[in-house]
Amino acid sequence: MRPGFGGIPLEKDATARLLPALLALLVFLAGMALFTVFAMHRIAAQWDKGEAGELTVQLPPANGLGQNDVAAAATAMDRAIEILKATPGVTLVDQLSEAEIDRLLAPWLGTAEASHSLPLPQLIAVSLDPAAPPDVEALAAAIQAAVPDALVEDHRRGLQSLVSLARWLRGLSWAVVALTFIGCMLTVALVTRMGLAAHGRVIELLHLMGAEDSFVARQFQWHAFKAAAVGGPIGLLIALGTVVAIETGLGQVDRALIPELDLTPLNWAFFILLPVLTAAIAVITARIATLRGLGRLP
Amino acid sequence: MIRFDNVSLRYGRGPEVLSDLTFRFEPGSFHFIEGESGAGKSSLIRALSLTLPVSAGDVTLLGRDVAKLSRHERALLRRKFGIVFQDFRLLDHLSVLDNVLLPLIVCGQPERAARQDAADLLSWIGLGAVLDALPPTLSGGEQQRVAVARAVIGKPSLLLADEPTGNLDWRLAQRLLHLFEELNKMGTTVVVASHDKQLLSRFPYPVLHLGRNGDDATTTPAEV
Repeated sequence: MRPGFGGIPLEKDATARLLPALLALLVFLAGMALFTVFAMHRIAAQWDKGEAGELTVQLPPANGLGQNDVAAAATAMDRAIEILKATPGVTLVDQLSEAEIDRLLAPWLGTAEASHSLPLPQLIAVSLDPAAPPDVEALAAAIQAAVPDALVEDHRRGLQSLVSLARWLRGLSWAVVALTFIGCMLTVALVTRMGLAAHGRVIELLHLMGAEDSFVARQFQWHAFKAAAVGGPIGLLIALGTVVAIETGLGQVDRALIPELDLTPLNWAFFILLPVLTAAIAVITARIATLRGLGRLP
Repeated sequence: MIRFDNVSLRYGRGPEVLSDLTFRFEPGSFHFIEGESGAGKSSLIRALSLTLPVSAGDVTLLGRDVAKLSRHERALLRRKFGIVFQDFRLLDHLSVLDNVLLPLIVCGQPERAARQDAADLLSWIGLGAVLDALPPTLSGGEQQRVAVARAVIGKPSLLLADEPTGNLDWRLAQRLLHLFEELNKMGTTVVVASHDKQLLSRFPYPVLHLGRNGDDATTTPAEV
């Protein structure tokens, strides 16, 4: 049998032109929501990692001061480093050079060598063992006992709420993906019902000829599949184009603020699955809607 | 065999269209159903084609008690029916060939073989030149022949015709009933509903008269 040949002229319906466009739109929305899921997952993981594994220790400035103060600042730095290195759970202690501090400040102060003209604090970047982190409060107290003006900045305080927000957005995005699939079901169900109503006489004739409900349902399934086969890839292509544009745009932004959002092969596989899943949902929905609609015939 | 025992039929909560109807048609017989407009001829044809459930009584079609049939079995039983409608009910978007092909496709026959059978039948009834034409481009007589071809392509055990001569002139109407006679001679049970007493009187087959007040009776043509 010719694919779809069963007497019902569904391809001539107005919905035949509308359904692919609607499904393309839904796949596009699902694609964007899925991208948000992956982006928020990556951001939350990155920030979570920073939250659990990093500290910054600030010590009084060493530049722009007298000779004695410079010596005192160096002593303070040595003491702090000594305490940090002696603390179990501290995996890396890195005193930031003036060049590194200048680079960190570049987004706000430009490329001028701020460290030479401003009294900036000395910074120590500290990495912690995520599996067995030290007691940060005890560590801060020990450093402040040795260097009274020292400030231990625990990244947890700042990042905690951001990580929570990213996770909440990720959950919300999953919900949007689910909603687009529900939208796909409702759209196909509505189009199928319209088709059943519009072709009632043809369907009744097929019924009289002894057509089983599945014979009629197959025609609506084929109609839904064709619409999804056209609309799904179009929606996916537009979504992927938008993702690439966003990635390119984010490339211009300082990576200290937003981490790399490079998609993994698994992420791409999820994107490819979107039109496949949409087609499957469309076909199953068309079948169920048709069988339920035909139930009224004796 | 077709048997109706004390069958009543009504639409929704409306009045009874058929009331306490009892009759029996033997396999391979030819019967007319006659009555005035509104007497229930079309409703009876619909009940016979399993598209209208009866509201009371027992119906046996081709030896099967229809009340005991599953949905699947009802569909299979319908495949043994051929139905001709007064308004032909051809599908205007399909070619003549596809219209006649459709019952075979519904029955699951491979399209290639079914296509050849349909083309052969249409050629036999003189429509070989219009296989690819759409029904609206045909004359009334040609459309009527297509409708008959569609009804008989599956070699039905029961042929039901609802006012099949309503849109035809006298000569074509007689030719159509002669065609039904030929089918009947090959073993098909034929049931024709018509209001045309004069036409029916020309054929020697029993007539089931449907009255407006449930006074139904089977009579011979001479008594109609």
